[in-house]
Formats: sequence, C-alpha cells, structure tokens
Amino acid sequence: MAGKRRAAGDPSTPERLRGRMTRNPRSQRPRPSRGRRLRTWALRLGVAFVVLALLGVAGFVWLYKSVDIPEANAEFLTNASIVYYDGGKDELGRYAIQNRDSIPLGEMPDTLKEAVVAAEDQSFYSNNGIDTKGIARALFNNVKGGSTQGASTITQQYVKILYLTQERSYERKVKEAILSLKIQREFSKDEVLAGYLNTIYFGRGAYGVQAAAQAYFRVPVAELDLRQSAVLASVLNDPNDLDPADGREARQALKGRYQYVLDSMAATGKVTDAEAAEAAKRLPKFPKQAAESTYGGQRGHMLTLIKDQVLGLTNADTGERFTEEEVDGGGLRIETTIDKSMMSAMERGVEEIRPTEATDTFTKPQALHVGAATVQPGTGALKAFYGGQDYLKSQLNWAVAGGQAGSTFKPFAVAAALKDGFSLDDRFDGNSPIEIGDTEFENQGDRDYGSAVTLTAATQDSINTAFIDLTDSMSDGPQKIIDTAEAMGIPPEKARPRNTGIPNNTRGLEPNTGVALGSQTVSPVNMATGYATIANEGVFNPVYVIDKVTDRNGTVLYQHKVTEKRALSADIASDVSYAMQQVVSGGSGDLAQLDDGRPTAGKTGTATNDEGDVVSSWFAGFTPQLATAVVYVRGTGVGKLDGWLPYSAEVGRDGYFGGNYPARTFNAIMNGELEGADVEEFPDPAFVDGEAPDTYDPPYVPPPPAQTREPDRDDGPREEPTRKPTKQPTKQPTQEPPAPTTPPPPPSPEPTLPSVPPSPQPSDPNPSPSQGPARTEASGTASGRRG
Amino acid sequence: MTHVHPTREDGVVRGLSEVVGGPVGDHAGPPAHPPAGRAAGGGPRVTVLGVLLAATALTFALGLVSKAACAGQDWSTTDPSRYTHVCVSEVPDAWTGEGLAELAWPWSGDAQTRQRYPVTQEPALVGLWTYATARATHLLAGAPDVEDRYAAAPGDLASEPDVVAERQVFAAVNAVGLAGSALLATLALWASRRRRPWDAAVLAAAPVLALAGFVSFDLLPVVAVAGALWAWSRNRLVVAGVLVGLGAAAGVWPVLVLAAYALLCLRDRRPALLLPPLVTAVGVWALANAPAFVSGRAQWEVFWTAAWRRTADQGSLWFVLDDVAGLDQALVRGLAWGLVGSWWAGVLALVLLAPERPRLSQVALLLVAGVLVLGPTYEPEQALWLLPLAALAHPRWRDLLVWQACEAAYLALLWWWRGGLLSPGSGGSAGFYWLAIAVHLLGTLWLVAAVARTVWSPRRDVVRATEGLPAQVTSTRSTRVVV
Repeated sequence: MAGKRRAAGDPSTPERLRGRMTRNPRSQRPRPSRGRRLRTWALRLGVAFVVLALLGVAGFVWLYKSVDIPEANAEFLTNASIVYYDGGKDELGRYAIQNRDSIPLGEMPDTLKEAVVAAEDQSFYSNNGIDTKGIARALFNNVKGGSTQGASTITQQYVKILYLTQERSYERKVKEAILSLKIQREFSKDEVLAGYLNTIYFGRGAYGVQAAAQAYFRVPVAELDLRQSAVLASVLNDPNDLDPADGREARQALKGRYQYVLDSMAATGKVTDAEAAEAAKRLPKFPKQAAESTYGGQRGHMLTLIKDQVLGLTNADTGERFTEEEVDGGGLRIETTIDKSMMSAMERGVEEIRPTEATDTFTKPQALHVGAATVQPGTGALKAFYGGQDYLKSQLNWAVAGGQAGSTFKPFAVAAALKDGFSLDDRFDGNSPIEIGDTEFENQGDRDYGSAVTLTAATQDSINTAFIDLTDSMSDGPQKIIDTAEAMGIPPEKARPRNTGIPNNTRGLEPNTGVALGSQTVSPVNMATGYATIANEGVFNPVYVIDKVTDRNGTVLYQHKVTEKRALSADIASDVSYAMQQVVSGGSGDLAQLDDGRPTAGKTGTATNDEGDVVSSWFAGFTPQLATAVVYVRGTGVGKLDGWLPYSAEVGRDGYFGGNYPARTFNAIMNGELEGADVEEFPDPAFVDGEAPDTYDPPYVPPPPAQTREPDRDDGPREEPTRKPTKQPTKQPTQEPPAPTTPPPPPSPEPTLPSVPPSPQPSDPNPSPSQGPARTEASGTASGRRG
Repeated sequence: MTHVHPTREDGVVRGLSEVVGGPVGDHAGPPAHPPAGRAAGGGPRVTVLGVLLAATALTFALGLVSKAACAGQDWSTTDPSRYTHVCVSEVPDAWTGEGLAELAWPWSGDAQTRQRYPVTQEPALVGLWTYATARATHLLAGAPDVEDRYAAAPGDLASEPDVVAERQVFAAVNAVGLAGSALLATLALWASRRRRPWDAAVLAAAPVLALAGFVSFDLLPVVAVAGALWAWSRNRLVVAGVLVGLGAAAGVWPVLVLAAYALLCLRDRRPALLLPPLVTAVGVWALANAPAFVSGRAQWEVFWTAAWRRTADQGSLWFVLDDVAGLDQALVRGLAWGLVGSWWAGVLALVLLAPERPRLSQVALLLVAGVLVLGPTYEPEQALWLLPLAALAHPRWRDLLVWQACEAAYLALLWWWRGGLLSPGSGGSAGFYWLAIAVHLLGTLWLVAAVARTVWSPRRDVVRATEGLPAQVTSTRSTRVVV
C-alpha cells in the first residue's frame, strides 16, 4: 500500500531535496555567495567533528578495553621479612627488597590520611581517578609559562608507581590516565588510598607509612600525631630533598612543604586554622637515626647466617625450599635462637681480650680473626656467635669458617677410646717422639711425659704422643674416632643434604693416625655442638638457628622441633667431661676457669702446618648449660700465629697458646653469658672400664693404688622416647633398672697424675718468638703430614 | 528356673557359695533375669546384668589399684618400681613415647616429628584411639600451647612437670575408656546367652582382666570380639562382620574369629554364609585403616613390617629355645608360623571330625590359642584375647582359674625379669624366666585341652547341656552357628 501511495504522489527524497533547493531563491542566483561557502564548510566540519568524536570515543573505548591492569611492579608488592631474637620479641634485623610492612587502612591514623589527601590530591574523594579541572589548570599554567605543574591524582601516582615505568612519554601518560580510570572503577577509594600509602617511598629506605613512621619517628604508624603526619605527608612529595637529616637546606624546604600541608588541611576543614597554626610553629622532634647500619657489626654476619639457614629449610606451604624471593620480599616473620644478651656478651668478651695494639712483631692487627659460638646443650640452639670483624669490612664469618681443630679434637678420641673399652686409667706412651709406621709424632716442645701416662693425664696436658699411641692401640682407631665425633655432632668430610651442622661438612676429616691431633678444619659452631653432646650427658642435639618461620597471616611455614640422639652412654660422657674438667682445673686451660668458680670443662688446641707454623689457636669448653668454642686465626685462616700474636706479660704466656687468648676469651664470654645463671654441677664420673681390645699393649707400670670400679651404669635416669615396653621388645632385658642412686665413686684415689709431675702449664714450653718455628701441641716432623 | 544357676552347676562356684548359704534351692524365687524380671510383687531387685556390670567395674578398679605404685611415680618410664611393683602399663607410656604430648598424629610423616618419636606400633584403630584420648587429655589440661614443647628434646620433655601431670590425665582418660570397653564386653557376653547369663561373669570377674586390663589397649579388640560373638548368637551376620572388621583394625587376631566361622561354614558346606560377614569385615577394616593409610602410608606400614619381622621374642617358647641353642632368627620365624599353621590344620581336622558341629567360640579359642602358644612372642596382656572366647566356650571356673593363675604368675615373673630382678648374679640365662614361660604355656594348654575335650565329646559341654541348643539335635541342619 505504501508503495502505491508513494507512486501516486510522493516524490522520492532526492527529488524533494532537489525541489527544495530549486525553490531556494538564492540558489537560483548564478554566483555562489560567500555565506553559502562558509555554510558548506561548517557543515563539512561538523560532520568531520562528529565522525572524529565518534572515532575518538570508539578509540577510547577500545583503549580502555584493551589496556588491562598489568601485573604490578613486583618490588612494590614485597614486604620486608623481619628476623627476631630468641623469644620472638626483639627485632634482630630485616630482609627487604623494599623496606615495607603493609598494614590495613584502619591502622593508619586519620590525621595522616587527611594530611596526605590535603597535600597531594584534595579532590581525591570526588574525582574519577583523573582530575580534569586540575589538568586544565595545569595546562593553562604551563602555556602561560608559569611553573611546570603536574596534576597527578593519588590514583594516578599509585598507578604510576605500581604498574608503570618512570619514563616520561605521552604513551605512558595516556596509559596512566586510562589505568587510573580503570582502577578508580574497580577499587574503592579506601583501597586505593591504603594501597598508595603502603606503596609509596618516603625516603630513608622506607616504603609505605609503617616503615616511614619507624624510620623518621621510631613509632608504629598508629601512634603518629598531627605534626608527624604532616611531615610524612610532606616528605613523600620529594623524599630526596626534604629529609631533615640532610641539613639546613633540606630542613628549610621541609618546613615550607610542612606549612603548605597544614594550610591545605585547614583549607579542607580537616583541622581548624588554630590547630594548623599551632602545629606549624615547629617541626616535630626527629629521634636520632640508628647509627648502626642494617649490616654493620655482627648484624651482617647474623643476617647472612640466618638467611643461609632459612634457604636450607622446607616451606610447609609449598613443600619446597624457601626461596630468596620469599625471604627478601615475602613478609616472613623469622624467629631465631640467637639470644640478644648473650650475643652482646660474646661481642664484649671477644673485644675485651683480643689484642688490637700493633707492635713490632704484631703487625696488622686487623688480620687477626676471632670466631666463636655458643650452643645450648640439650637443644642444640645456637645462642650466640662472633663472626669476626665488622661485616661491612669482611663478610667472612669465622664462627662458620673456623680453623684447624688441633687438640680440641682430642675429647672425641677420648670418647671413642672409652667406647672401645679403654678406661681413663689406661696408660699410653707419653714420650716424644713416637713413631707409627713411617710417621713420627712429637709432643709440643718435644717434651717427654713418661712412657706410661693415663688417659686423663694425656687429656689434661694434651700429650700428643699418648693420643697417637691410643689411636694406634684401637683397632681401626682413626675411623672409630671419626665415627664417634660424627655421632657427637661434627659433620662428616663430605657435605650431604642430611648432614646437620653449620657448615654441614668438615674439611680434611680423614681417617689417618693423627686424626686426634686435629688437622681438619672445624667451625666453632660445630665444635661447640660436639662439646654440647658431652655436656648433655652423651645425647647429641643437632645445632639450629631458625626456630620458626611464619607468613604475614600467621601461618606457620616452618617450626623447628628439637631432636636428640644418644651418641655416648651417660657414663662415658661423664668420664670425658671429667677428663676435660681437669684441663680447666689444673691443665693447659686454667685461664678458662670462670670467675665465679663454677664447674667448667674444656680443651685447648693449636694446629700446626707442614712448616711447623701454628695456624690456629683454640679453646672450647662447656658448663652444664652452655658450650662455647673460640678460635683465633690469621689472614686467610692459615696464617702463622706463633711469633705474631703478642706475648701476654700479665699471664706470662705466649700469644699463640690456646691457653692464652682463646681460653681468656672463653672466660670473658662465658662470664657474661652465664651471669645470673644457676651454678650447675657435672655428673660424677663413672670411671667406666670395659674390655680393652687385644690391640692394646699396656705399658708396665707399678701397680697404682687400688681403684674401686663401678659396674657399668645404664644411660642414667633419662626418659628416652622409645616406647618401653614395646610390642616387640629386644630379647634382652634392655631396661636394666637405672641406677640414678648409684653412689659416686670414692673420691680418694685420684686416677690422674700418678706419673706426671704437677705443673700448671706442662704443655707450654714457652718458646720465645726468635727461636724459630715452635713445636706446638700438634706438631709433626714427617713431611706431608699436618699436625 | 529359667536360667542356669552357677551355684548348682559349677563346682568352684558351689564351693564358694557355701559362704553365703549354699547353692540356690530348688524352689528359689523368680530369677532376676531376663532384665524385665523385677519381681511381680517386690520392690527393686538386683538383676543379673547389674551384678555383672558391678563385678566388671570392681575387677577393673582392682586392676587400677594394682597400678597405684606406678601412678604414684607419675608413670615414670625409668623408675624401677614399674617392674618391681608389677605395674607396667603401655598406656601412659604412649603419652610421652609417641609424641601424643605434643599432639603428634600417630602416622605423621613430618621428618622432625619422626626424628623425635618412633612411629606407633599399634594397629590403626588403637592409634586413632590414642590420638582421640590425647585430644581429650589436651582439652582437659586446658589446651596448653604444644608448640612450646618442640623446643625441648623428647627425653627432657618427658620429665617436664606439665607433661608429667598430663600423663596422669591421659592414663585416667584411657582408664575410663578401657573400663567402658570392659563393661561393653560383659554386656555383649551376657546378651549372647539366653539361659546362662552368668557365663559373662567369667570375664567380669576374671583375674586376668584385673591384672592385664590396663597394661595396654588390648581391651579394644576384646570388646569388638565379644560384640561379634553376640551378633553371631543373634544370627546378625553383617553386624558380626562389622565388629570383626573393627576388631581386626584394633589388633589383627580377631580375624581368627571370622576364620573359625569359616571353618564351621566349611563343615556345613555352606560357603555362601561366609560372604556377608567377610565382605563387611573387609570393608570396615579398610575404612578404619583409611585415615592412617592416607595420611602416612610409610608410617602405616611400620606396624605390619614390625609384626612380620618379629622373631623369637620374650614370653615365647622360641625365646627359651633361642637362649639354649641360639637359633637363626629367620628360621625361628618360619618355624613358628609353620607350627602355628599346623596347629590350625589340627583345629580344622578337629572341627571336621567332631561328632557335633562345634560352637563358634570353641573353634575361635582353639585358633587364637595356637598363636599364643606357638607364636614368636607373647606378652601378658595377650591373655585377654582368650577371655571373651573362654567365657562362652568353656564356662568352667576350675579350668579357667588354673589357666589364669598361670597367666598371673607369668605376668609377675616377666616384669620382674624385665626389671632385672631375676637375672642371676653370675650373668647368663634367667632360669626363673624360663619357668615363667613354661607356666604360661602349660596354663594355656590346659585351657586348650579342656575346650578340645568338649569339642570332641559334646556331652561334656555344659553349654550344650543347658542352653538347649539346636546343635544337640544332630538331625537338624540349622544354618545358625552357635556361639
């Protein structure tokens, strides 16, 4: 029908258009008027504008859709992992890519939020992520030639930091704007503000308000007042130029910005003018910045050791080892075993004793390195250590690097011998030299102690030849000594993942005849661990530093559980301990005796290289509560100590003796660490005496005074974790009635010193430095062998 | 008289009854059983069940009193009194010995936990039981933070005052639970008999229950077996299967009850009847083992490898032989299980050749006794295994007392030996300990002989005589197994 009607009278549109134009009287004029040309152009322009506008909108929509919120710049999402001392309260240090501790907005004080909004983006709560008015104003000012103004909203700044590079380009500007709009739509204002305040850099290495509050005012962010809030809102504008610690100029600049922030707050009505004026009178107080840098002093050694240890642990959440990323930026909470007061007692102790004054012979005192460690018997917790010099000067941790063990290894040989059936009263050849196979061994100073010295005396006076005779008397002696040492906590020669210990191997721990004389390199940490086994009545606990690791939500990612393994029977441990107590009470380690006279056991040690140079000087020892090892080395750890370490006139002892500086350092450390601790007694020695192996050919001695022998005791009244009775008990009545009430052996006939002339320091020949290479405790004469 | 009065039937009980006036008379009043039997005219009366439960409680309580010396030492695992006073119990030991004090899951695969504590050697259901009672103990102790305990070595932890105090609570919680098991077992045995309710007294008043009831967790499979016997007495095969499955998950030996049932099915040539209890037993056993299996398969396997590796061990014939002759351990294992197998073959022959179809409890007792007599190890609490079976198989107090006297002597001698009290001063083998083993073997064989005799000549079977069993009528082939 419509078609019919149209056909009847309606002209088609083009016809009507043509008709209208022809009806226009002007158009009929032959010359085209100017106005008409203008109109045509206007029309064309209009069409073009609409098209362009449409294109623009389409383009914007396309851009908006195509620009995804990218992955945030990873480092801005990291949180510092915080390390704590034993007990989990005092902070030891932190690992950070950026020092940040993210907190929810609710924990930030209102004054701070208001100050930042007032200073940075007053339209924050009303704008759409970009401040169009602000942009117009900025453009106008820039065109006018005024100051170059920016018009970044908080959202834009946040986007810029979190997602974009810092380069200046239009592309980035466009992207920034679009992302800001997008963020604005997807997140609430509070989320954006919280993200911004947790992300932005405030100077002094602090990212986010929490770290900033700590860095500038040493308070948690929640405790910031108006003045402090205004300062933080000021410095974030230009942290490089506004830190008041940088001098007068920076302080002045800060003051200007500070005034501006307070004025802005007053202008936005967040504070009254009076309050603003009152606050503006002066800047808040800035506490002195911590002088110690993060890694200065022992702290760097601690943080490095702790990080190494965490990286070796398994994260319960992932089932994998902890990664560097997790430790540096995962916001972990790492609780350690390090005891703050013991740590400083150790530092004080070392610094008190270590010689620092250069002399003619003692050149370059800074080449002297001291490593020390304290381990807790019964748990294996590393309570304190001394890594050496300031970490910023030398990163080598001598508590872990250690030195050649020397005679500090002899207690392990004593334990192995007692296990093998010997007793403390069995006698060995103490004369020097002694030849085993083709190798000759000498005592320190080539001194003779008699052809039949007891094992106690050999320990007390550190008689090398007697220990060589002992090792030779055992069948497969060197291997047995190593096995015993490993059971007690000295790691094997080869590093294996299952090994415990720090480090988890012992360089040079090989089964040769001289193994008891200690050419192997042992760390003070491991030495203290091994000695702690003796202190803990023969039960070994692997050493550990990391107690617990939790993530930001409090999920436990790692929890250390103390483990134990019996290495020696309680009786044997009490005997080894007894022999070592003689070292302190009347042997080479007398200077280690603690000031309060509490029972102490220990062993001195020096190691000598092929040239006869002393290359390490040790003292390691323990009380029932703590085991501590101290080593002195020079240069790279194998430098010559004899003739270099200064003679100590006040104790009349040569510098390189283990009984001098190391024993005195031990004394100083333990006096401090054990201050206020109960005095605990050692268990009485059991004087075990088994069947010595056939390979033992006892030297003839006149019959000693009768010695009552105790029957072998069981492992003491200790509750072992094994179920007794088990469903399948061992077929022997394994659990003999423990004999905690066994009377101690009669004290009268001291089993020691029947043949050795009493002498306070019999092993100290006191050679003067000019007499050439000294024969030390563990010196050897054969080539190719280390003492 | 609707039920059998032990004072009229059992010589020992009759003798004892003289103290209170002699056996029940011919015209004595209405019996207290069944429980509805409150006398028509009278006030509240003591029911048989009531007496039985009271007796069970009393017996178990006496057993706990006998452990007082150890409880007084805070259940120390090292104090010699645990042996001298014959009050050893594995129950409190588990608190500190298996990491329950820090709520360690018995089959945890955590490397550090495994370094601290050995894996439990209890079967799955017992492991779950210990864990549940440990949880209850933890709550009762005010839910202390167990994390602190990781900082102490297990040996030191075991002597910390908190942990020691909790060990007492743990023992108490378990005592309550095990007492409940004993009561349930009595209830099940009582319900298994229609006319002989007093047979349950064999368990309720057993010296072995007093002496060994709290030594370990063995009452758990015992109650399952008692329940299974009740289910069979009611011909509830599926329920019986469920209970056997639970029992087998708490101690493997209840499987032998199912095996006994299988032998009876074999004798009747009705293998199809075996299916319902077998299928449910396997299913329930698997279900009970699932938590352990899923959470730590390697740890779950420890129980089985330990059970398999067990060689000549304390309390067994083989221990004596090994002491005398020094046997190869693999040989002992092969020999022991070979002989147990031939014992079982003998039982099979007896079952097939017996003039009447034997009762289930009789066959089960004979099978289980084979393990106790010839197996490679024997612990005193294993005597509990025979208790529910003996109550139904052979309720004759004379034989039961002979057997239990032997077990009591064995228990005391074993612990004294373990405490080193019987070791000759000169060293060498402990003659008294050998004697203990011989006494235990003879006692068990006495009971076995008595049961075998009644199987061989059913007319001597007091149960058959009085329970009016269908089995008495040889011509009738009843599908119902008699317990």
